[in-house]
Amino acid sequence: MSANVLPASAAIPVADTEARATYNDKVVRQFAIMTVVWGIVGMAVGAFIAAQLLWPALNFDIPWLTYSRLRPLHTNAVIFAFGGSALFATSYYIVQRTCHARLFCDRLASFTFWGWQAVIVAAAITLPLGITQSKEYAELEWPIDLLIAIVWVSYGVVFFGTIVKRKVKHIYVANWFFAAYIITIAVLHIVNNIAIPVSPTKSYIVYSGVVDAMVQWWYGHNAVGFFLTAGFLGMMYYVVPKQVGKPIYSYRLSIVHFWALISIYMWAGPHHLHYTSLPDWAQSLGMVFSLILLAPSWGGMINGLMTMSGAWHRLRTDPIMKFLVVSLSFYGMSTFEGPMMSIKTVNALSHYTDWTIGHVHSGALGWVAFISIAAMYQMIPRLFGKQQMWSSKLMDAHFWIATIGIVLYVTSMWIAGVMQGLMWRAVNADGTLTYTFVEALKATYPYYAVRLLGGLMFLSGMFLMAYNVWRTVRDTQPVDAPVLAPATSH
Amino acid sequence: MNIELNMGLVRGLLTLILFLAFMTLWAWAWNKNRQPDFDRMANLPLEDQDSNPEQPR
Repeated sequence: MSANVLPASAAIPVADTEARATYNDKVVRQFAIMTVVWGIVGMAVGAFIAAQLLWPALNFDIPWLTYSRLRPLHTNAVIFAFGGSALFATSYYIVQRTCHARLFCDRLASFTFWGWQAVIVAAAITLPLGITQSKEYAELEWPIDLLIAIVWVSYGVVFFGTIVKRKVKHIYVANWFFAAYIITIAVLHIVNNIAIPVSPTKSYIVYSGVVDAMVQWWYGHNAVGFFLTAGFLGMMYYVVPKQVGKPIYSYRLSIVHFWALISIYMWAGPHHLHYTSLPDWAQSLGMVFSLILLAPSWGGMINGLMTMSGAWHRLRTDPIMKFLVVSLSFYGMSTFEGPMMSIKTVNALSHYTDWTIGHVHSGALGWVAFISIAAMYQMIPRLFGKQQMWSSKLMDAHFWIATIGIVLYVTSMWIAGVMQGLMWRAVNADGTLTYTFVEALKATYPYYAVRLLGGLMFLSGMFLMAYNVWRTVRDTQPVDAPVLAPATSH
Repeated sequence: MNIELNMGLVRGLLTLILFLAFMTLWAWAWNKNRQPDFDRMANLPLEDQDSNPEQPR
């Protein structure tokens, strides 16, 4: 493994009076374990609805089990329950260690855990009941939205309170990404969900028509940009240097690509509304900003991969490194694919097809889930006083089964999507459509089977992870790491 | 004055301002005087008791 690049003096426990001060790792452990649990739940629901596309009878004629109600449950569970718990866990873990300070206000931190779990449970109950605002990734009705807002503001108070308490002069770049993600998600969530409640389970959004659509996709795409990108880049900027054992390749690149990324993402939303009643200039604006986004996105990928350069030999022995390399590769691929799909002429083919589903999962499984899994494998042993995970072989098996699963999933959806797009647009010489919709659906069937197989493989990887985590933590006494004094150079 | 204050001019100026802001940020980040600070910041994730997993804690 890597040599310790720091002089021994870099990490000195603080003087006697503060010797008992520890990091608040309890809340990190809670979120870390729930990351694994919600990952399994969310991906299991995903695999179930993928099976429903093959065998529609699997809804058993029970309204709660219909595709239309379970699909939002799947997206909410994987994004906000799995991804959200991973982000809470890693941001709390990283902000303490890079600020050399215990989390601000233990009670509030604990509230963010229980509050967030309450949101997830409320979502799992209301969505199958059909209680929804019908806004994608913002389906939850107004009482739950209020709870989310309260939990999120508390999260901000805990996070920024810790930044204020920091013992070092500078704020590490990972914390900049987390800060941007926390602030922006608060703004997006509140603005997109402004509604007039008419009953505890029904409200009407204040926006109407094309304004409603634009606000929704301003929210929707920035949820991708700030929740699923900035937050996980924050994770990357700690997990990669830590795993490699050397500092990030270029700190100044991280600063330039941070500001470029957050300024440009904000304008990319209209690409979700190409060829709709949204004014044409707004569509073109969204397309141009999406194309420019390639540069800051690849800034992050290059910075991560170049940090690993020189440590490639560790790919043979270190499964966490494998997860990190594949994760950054999928980040690079999906942030190339996204700008390409935002080009109007490409979008004319890809929009409303399964190509979009393939694109989303290349980002969600390849980038977001893999970097989270790597972070959990790195953090969980440390949080429970162990040197490493119980089984390195199981981590390796998890890596391979999940990677093959993603490849099957994404390639099948690419092929299905392009085929659907071509079949839908094909016209005969007399201007009539060549294919009926159901013919395109029938042609998609085999690809739905491959997609289900890929999804099931990814899900089985999560079960391996759960078993490995359970064996790692089952007879441990959780330990809170001591707050370390900053290195002498600060 | 022949220059009319129209939206085209405003957009052009805004583009120029944003471009200059980006170039300033770039120049600031690549300024050699920043390097020692950046090096210290870049080491923050490694300042941990368990930076080397092989070392007993």
